[in-house]
Amino acid sequence: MQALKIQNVEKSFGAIKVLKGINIEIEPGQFLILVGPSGCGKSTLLNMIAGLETVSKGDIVIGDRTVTHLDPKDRDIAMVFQSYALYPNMTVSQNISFGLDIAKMPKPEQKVVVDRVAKMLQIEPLLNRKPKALSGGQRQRVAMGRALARDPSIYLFDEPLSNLDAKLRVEMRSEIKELHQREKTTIVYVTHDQIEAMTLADVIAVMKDGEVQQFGTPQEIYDNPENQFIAGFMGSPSMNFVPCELSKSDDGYELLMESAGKVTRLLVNQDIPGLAQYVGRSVVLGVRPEQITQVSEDKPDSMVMPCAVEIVEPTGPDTMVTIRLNGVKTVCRVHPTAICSPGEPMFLQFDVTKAVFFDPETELRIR
Amino acid sequence: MIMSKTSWGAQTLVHLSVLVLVIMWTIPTAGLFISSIRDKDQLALSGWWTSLSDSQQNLMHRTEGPDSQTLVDGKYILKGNIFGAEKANDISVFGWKSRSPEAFKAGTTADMNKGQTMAVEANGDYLLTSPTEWTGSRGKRVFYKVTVPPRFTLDNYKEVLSSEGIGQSFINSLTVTIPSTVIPILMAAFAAYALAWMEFPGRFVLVAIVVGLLVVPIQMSLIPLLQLYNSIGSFFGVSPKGYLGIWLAHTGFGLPLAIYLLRNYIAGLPKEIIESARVDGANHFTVFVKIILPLSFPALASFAIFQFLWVWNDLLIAMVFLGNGEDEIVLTGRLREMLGSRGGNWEILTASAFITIIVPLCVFFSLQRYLVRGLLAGSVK
Repeated sequence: MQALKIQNVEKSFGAIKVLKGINIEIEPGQFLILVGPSGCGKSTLLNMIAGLETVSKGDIVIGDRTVTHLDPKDRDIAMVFQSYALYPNMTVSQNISFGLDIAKMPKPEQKVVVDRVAKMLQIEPLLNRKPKALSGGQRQRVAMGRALARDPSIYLFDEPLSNLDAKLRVEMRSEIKELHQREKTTIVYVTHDQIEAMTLADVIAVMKDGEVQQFGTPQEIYDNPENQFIAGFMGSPSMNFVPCELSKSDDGYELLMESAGKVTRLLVNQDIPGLAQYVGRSVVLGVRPEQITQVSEDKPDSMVMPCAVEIVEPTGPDTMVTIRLNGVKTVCRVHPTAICSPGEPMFLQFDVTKAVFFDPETELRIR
Repeated sequence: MIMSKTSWGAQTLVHLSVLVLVIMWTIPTAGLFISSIRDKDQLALSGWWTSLSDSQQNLMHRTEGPDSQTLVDGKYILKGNIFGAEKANDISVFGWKSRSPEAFKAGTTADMNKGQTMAVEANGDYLLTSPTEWTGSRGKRVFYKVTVPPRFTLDNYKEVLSSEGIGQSFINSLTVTIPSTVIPILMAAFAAYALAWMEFPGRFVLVAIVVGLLVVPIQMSLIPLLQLYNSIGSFFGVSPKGYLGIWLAHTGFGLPLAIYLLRNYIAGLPKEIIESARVDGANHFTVFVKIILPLSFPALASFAIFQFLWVWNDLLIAMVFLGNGEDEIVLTGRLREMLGSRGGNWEILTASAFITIIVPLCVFFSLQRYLVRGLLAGSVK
C-alpha cells in the first residue's frame, strides 16, 4: 500500500495552469523531496496535499483514504512551514500541544508527548518560553516538535531550513535525516536547494513549470538526468554543457573539442545507440566538474587536452578551475595541491564514461 | 551632511510639534482640574493661574447685637472678632458704609454718626463705641477687605456628585457606554475574521458594502432608525426610549468602522499561522478564539478606545434614543442642562466637566499599552 498517491493532479488559477498532471507515489517511511526552481509549483503541490489549496483535477490518496476534498484537519497530516508559523501568543509547550489539545487528548497524556518530543529535539529548557524569545534554530525545532507531537501519517515540510544560516542549516539537515531514519516517518519535503534534496531524499521529484521532470532516487537523478534542466539543476557546481561536433571514428564516436587554440578529439567510450543519428551534427556534452581532472603532462592519451586556466576558486577540499571549451566556460574540480594560476596552461583529463549527451534543440537526453 | 542636517531639522520639528500638542492639551486640562478644586468664592474672583497666591476679598460682617453691649466709662461698647475664634486673616481696610467699604485702614478708628466710632484691627478685633445706647435688634455692618490664602477643597465634587445629579448621570453614561463598546467589538471581530479568512461567495461585495457604510452620516439615518426601532419595539412591547435602543444604535453606527479596522488587521496576520492551526486540526471557531483574538488585541484595544470615547462624548444619539429622566440622562446631556441652569456657577461646571473627562482618560491610559506593536514577534521568520 502506498503512503501517498498523487494521481493526475492539476491546479489552475483562472486560465493559468500551474500544475499539469502530477503523478507521484511513495511507500510508507519514504522521504520524498519535491525540488525545483521558484515558481515550479512544488509549494502549491505541497499545499494541495495539506488541503490548504483546492485541487482542480485529479486525486490525492493518503494511505487508503482519498482526501482530495477533505479539510486539512481531516487528513491526518502535520506540516512544518518555511516561516515556522509558531503561535506567538503561546509558549513552546502550548505550541507543541496545540494539535493534541484540539484532538481532546487529556492533559497528562499531552504532557508526556510534549516531554518526549522536547527531549527528542533537545528543547526541554525552552518549553515555557514564548516564540519571540527563541533563536531561529530553536524556532525551527519547535515547529518540527509541533509536527512530531501529532504523530500523523505524513509529515509535510515546506522549505523548513531556508531561513536558517548556513551552518545551522547543515546541522538541522542531518538532524532531520537522523529523525527520519529513527522514526521511519513518511515525509514530503519541499526545497529549492538541490543539496538538501540529494542528502535527505529517498526519492526526488524534480519539478519545473508545473510538471515532474524526473522521479527517482537521488543517485539516479544525479547520474542519469532525463534532460539538460535536471542535469544542470542537480549538483553543485552544476554540470558543464559543452556544445561540440560529433563524428564517427573507428572505435565509436569522437568529439571535436577546442581549447587554448588547440583542437583535440575526445573518444566517446560509451555505447549510446541514440548518438548514431547525430553524427556530423552538434550535440551538447554534459560533463560534471569532477569528471575533468588534472594530469601532470600531455600523455599520449586521447582523453587529455591542454587548456588555458581562466579562474581559480579554491574551496578547501577541492579547487575549482574554470577553463574555456569550445568557447564555453567549463568548471573542473582539481586537487587542491594542483598549482595553477590564471593564464597558465593546464593538462586535463576527461572521464567521458559517465558523461551524458543532450540534443541541442530539445535539450533531451540522447540515449 | 545634508542628510543629517535635514533629519536633525525634521526631528526638531517633530519634537516641537509634540511639545506644542502636549502644552495645548495639558494646560486647559490642568486649568479645568485646578478650577474644580478651588474654593468657589475664590474661583469666582480670579483665574486658576492665580490659585496659589493670596487673594483679596471684599466681605461684610455684622457685629454683635445691641443686647451684648456693655457700659464702660460712660460709653456703650460693642466688641468682638469678625472671624470668631480663628484669627487668621489679615484685614487691610474697612469701612462702615456700603458705599465706601475701603475708607479706613485697619488699626485706625473711624468716626461714625452721632459720635459713634468703629475701630477694626488687622486681626479682626473690632471695638464700637457710642455715647448713647445701641438700639435695634441687629449689629452694625462692618465692611472689610481681607487677604485670603489659597484654599482647595473637594466640596465642589461632593456637591455635583450628590445634589447636582452628576453621580447618577455618570452611572447612566457607563450603562450606555460599556455595552455600546463591547457589543460592536464582539460582533465585528467575528465578522472581520469571516471577511478576512473564510472563503464564501460575495465576500468582497460585503467588504465593499461595509466600506460604503463608513461614510453614511449619522444625522441622515437617525430619524428613520428611531422610527424603525419604535415600530419594531412597539410590536414587542419595548418602550420607545431606553437603553436597549441606544445600545443598538451605537452598535449599528460603530460596526462599519469596527469591521473595517479589524478586518484589515486580521487579514494582515500571517497566513501561515492560520494554515498551521488548520493543519493542526483547528476549525474556524478554534482558530478565531485561540489564535486570532489574542493576536488582534492591539486592534481591538484601539477600536475600543475609539468607540468608548465616541459613545461617552455623544450627545446627539443619547438625546434621540434616551429620555431626559433622572435615570436616563447621560453626562453630556446633564452638562448641557447645567450650562443653562447653573451657567454662573463655575465650581459646579468645572467639577462636572472634570468628572466627565476622568473616564476617557482612564480608558486611554489603561488601554494604550496594548497599542504597542510586536505581538507577532517570533511567530514567523
